[in-house]
Amino acid sequence: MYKINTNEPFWWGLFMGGAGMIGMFLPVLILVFGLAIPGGAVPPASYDTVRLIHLLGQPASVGNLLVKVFLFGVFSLTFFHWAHRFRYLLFDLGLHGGRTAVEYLCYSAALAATIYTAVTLFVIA
Amino acid sequence: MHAPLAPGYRPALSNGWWLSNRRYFLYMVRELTAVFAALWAIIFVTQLPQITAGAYSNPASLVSSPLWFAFSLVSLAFVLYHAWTAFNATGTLIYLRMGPKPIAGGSLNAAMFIAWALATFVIAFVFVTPAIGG
Repeated sequence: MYKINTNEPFWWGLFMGGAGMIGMFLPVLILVFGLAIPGGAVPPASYDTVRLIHLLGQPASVGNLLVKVFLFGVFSLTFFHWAHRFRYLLFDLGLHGGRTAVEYLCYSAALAATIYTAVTLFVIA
Repeated sequence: MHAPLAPGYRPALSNGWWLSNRRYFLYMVRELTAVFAALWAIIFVTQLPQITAGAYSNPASLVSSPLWFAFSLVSLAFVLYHAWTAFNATGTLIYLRMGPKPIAGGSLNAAMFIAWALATFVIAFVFVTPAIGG
């Protein structure tokens, strides 16, 4: 019997939120932390250790809490975007068996990455 | 979580269907952008404790390595492809009306690109200006 999948809009919502985050915010984060700073294109004072601790580390201040909430939002939705898209990528590539297992694996991985990100941002870094 | 395939039904599509046509191929490249986005994000998160401990000033650290730079360059290309195609689809996906007339799709796309440019500038400015949060 055909049953409407009522979970799908929830995962699709996270997926779409992630699509926006990746498009809007990931390019500039990759540009700054992956290219500009390692490539020496910005003044060293902008990434000296004291400043980066104030910006991303502990103890949390009002200012860096905003940065952390922003990064958490971008990264967690990025992970759920990946989960949904990768699930369908596998189906598109011809995976017919084990679809439910793939769904659980993908969304569980995204959830684990999200928890790991929260702990790293708010407790460790 | 999903409805099982009906018994006896065999999907007719070959596994290499996406190689048969440029548009299909680009669709799969677009699907692949999510892999690079998530990989870059999770690797960056794993490096955060080292970053606040001075990894960018330590040539032996991952975030100071040519590997990280190269991976970031490739990831940026994929993420920009995602952004470009997503923003250009805005006018097709969203219907907005001001008064009796619908807003042209091209205007919605342009609004996304303007918002993107603004967000990019503001975020880069915050992260790269030593006086902020120093």
